[in-house]
Amino acid sequence: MFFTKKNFVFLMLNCLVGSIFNSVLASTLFDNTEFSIAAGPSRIQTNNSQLFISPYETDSLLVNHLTNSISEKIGVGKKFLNRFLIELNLYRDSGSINGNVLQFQLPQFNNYTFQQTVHTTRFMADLKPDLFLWKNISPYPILGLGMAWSDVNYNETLTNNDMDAASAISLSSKRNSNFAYDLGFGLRVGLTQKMSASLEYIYTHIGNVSAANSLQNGLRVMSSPIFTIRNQSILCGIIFKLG
Amino acid sequence: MKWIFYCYKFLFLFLFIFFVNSAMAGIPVTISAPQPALASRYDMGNLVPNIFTVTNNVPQHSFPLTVSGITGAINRIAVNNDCGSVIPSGPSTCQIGILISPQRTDEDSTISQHLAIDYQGRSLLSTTISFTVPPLIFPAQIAIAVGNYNSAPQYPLLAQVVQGPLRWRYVVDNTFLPTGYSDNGVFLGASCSENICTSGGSYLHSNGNTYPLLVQTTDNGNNWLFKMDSTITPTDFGNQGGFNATTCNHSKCVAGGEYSTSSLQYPLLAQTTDDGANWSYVIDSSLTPILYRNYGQFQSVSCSDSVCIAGGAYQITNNKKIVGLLAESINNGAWTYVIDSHNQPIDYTSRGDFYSTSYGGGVYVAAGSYRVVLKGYPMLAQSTDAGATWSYAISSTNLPSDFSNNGQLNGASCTNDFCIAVGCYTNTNQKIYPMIARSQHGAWTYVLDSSLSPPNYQSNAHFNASSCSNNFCIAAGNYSTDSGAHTFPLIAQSVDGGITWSYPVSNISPILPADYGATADLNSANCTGITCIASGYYTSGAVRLPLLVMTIDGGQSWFYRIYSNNLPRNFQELGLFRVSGMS
Repeated sequence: MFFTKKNFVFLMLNCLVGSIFNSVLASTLFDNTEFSIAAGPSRIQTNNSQLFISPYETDSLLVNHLTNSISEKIGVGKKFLNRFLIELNLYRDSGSINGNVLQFQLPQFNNYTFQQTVHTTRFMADLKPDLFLWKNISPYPILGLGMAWSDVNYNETLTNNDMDAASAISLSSKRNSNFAYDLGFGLRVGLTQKMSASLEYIYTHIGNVSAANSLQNGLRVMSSPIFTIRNQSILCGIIFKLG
Repeated sequence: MKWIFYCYKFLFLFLFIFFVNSAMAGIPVTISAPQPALASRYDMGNLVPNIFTVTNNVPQHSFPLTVSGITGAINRIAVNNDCGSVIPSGPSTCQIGILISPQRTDEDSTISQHLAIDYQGRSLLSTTISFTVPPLIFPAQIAIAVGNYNSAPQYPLLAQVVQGPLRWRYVVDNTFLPTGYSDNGVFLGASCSENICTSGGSYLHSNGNTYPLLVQTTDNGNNWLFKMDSTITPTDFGNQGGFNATTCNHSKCVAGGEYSTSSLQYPLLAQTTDDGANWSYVIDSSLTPILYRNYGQFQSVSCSDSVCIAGGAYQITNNKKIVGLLAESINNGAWTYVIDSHNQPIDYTSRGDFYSTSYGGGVYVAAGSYRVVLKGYPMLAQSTDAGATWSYAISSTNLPSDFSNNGQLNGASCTNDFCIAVGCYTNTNQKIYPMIARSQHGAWTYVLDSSLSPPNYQSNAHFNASSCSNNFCIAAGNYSTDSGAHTFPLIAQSVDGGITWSYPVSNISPILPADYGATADLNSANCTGITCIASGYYTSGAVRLPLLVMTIDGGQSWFYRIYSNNLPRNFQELGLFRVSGMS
């Protein structure tokens, strides 16, 4: 419980400052330091969920469509022992979850569709150790740990015109904070002495997110739906050596 | 074989998604339109419920149910298969009933409420109930209530309502006054018959004289004209005169009062026999009662088709005593005095006076009081032979069982079958109680006395006026629930021809005007058919306001109709209704 978001950011910064300080002691400030940017397609993933209206009504949310989007990242890293690259990266992903609402979890009451949009910003410390070097190409695994902040809202659309249009629920945006982790692998191709290209696949587990619980239009919602968010992205990037 | 397996799996998945997306969606819980359909207008007293059917389509789910959003004119009522507080497990139906029953406070307004049924679903089942409540309908032909208001100057006051929407409006106030008007305008008498209404009183002219005033409509209230004012006076008119009472019967109207010459006050009677077109004085100084000294007046007048009577009092010469006075005219003939100093009650010693007269079913009555030495007694003279002979039916020999003193009959009313006379007396416990005497075929008995006192009665109960229509009678006055500091309007009513009585208007009901202060009184009563009005005043702090209470359903419900909600133009203070009339 004491390992809060604030503590985590402080730890990351402390590590970075410590490593930089050690680098300065070892040689110059930017030795083995690099700056990277990357972007590429990403896809949000989640499971079905439930919407708790009251103790007398629980609705099923069946996911049937997940959107693809562009994931972006920017980061700085430093290589230790000429092999272990530690990067501090800032990622941005977005996506939406679409599906059907089955009132009372019964298919005959499929009266709404829903869309839950998720915009995530995450700050990760990624470890990327080089496995080997072959013709300017080096593969590496990716192991990351960090914090994700997701803005989530939830909106329903009526599909049964016999229903009261005002009964479609709209839940306003809420910022969710989660610990997140990355798993993946990548390839780096040296282009020049100072510049490389990278191609990475990253699986990110963001965790449970939900929209605000506030009622709108006088509707009743006991608790907003919770979705466990995962993200897969393929990022193409450029790496600049600073030192 | 493997590709067949994959094809089968793909087909199953496709069908599942298709089923989920295109299944015939249903509504879990519904509410029907009400039966019968909601109307756009509801009258007070509506008794027809509207029933909504709630359908639960959710299998094996029951729901708690609460109804909200309706109040006042709309109430939930129990109906067959009523949902109560639970919607039964589906599939099922149950019903919710409402009764739209507007209250008097809803009259002449639009009501819109949202009936909301909460079954713990995502949204309420709701429907908007919107309707208008028409104004009450005044069923009689015309009614008037008259008096005065303000003090500097004081104006005469006449409010009227005609058949149709029950809206009282002031037709005589500070904007409609006789020529030369200065101050002290007041109406003391009012009467209506068919399309004709008259009201009589007096006013101070700018020349310093106080003149009799008579205003009249002959077209059911559409137009009012001053028929008698400073321009029409007795030939020897001095400086003061006025009317205390008026009566109309078909084309004949009579107004009674008094006037003074330079030194003497005479009884005064004016009359019209041509639908009010021409008024003339028929009793003045030229026709004085026997032994007339220097004072006389009429306080009440009544007419049948053939006979008119006028009751009052005058002072006689030999001992300066006041005696009851009754004048009579048969078949529009000359007026004569039928009761004067010669035929007072046998034990009369002083202060005779007739306050009220009435006619019905061949019986003519004149009610009042007189004294025997130090005791006051009720007095009622009656004629059962078309005014040919008169006798005293009530005097010191016919009294309530616990009578002690101060008896008086202030009002009398006759129908074709019976008569009543109302007033008050002090009983043996020295408290003032209301009393009502009733006669059928000329024999009078007391039907209300101290044995039937008003709710929370403590002291000082009076009846000031009475009226009967068919078997429906009322007596109006006031009483106190303490030693006299607080007085309340009082109406007793009978629906069995005056035999048994109850108090529908008292300090308990109907709800008094919110600004009622400490005192109130009802001075007049008029009934026509199932409609009755009673008017007077109430005080609110230092302000006195006109007050009118009425029923339009034969006494089933009474309600205050004129109070601070409906005041004459430029009203400031000291208003009251003194008398009323209705046809």
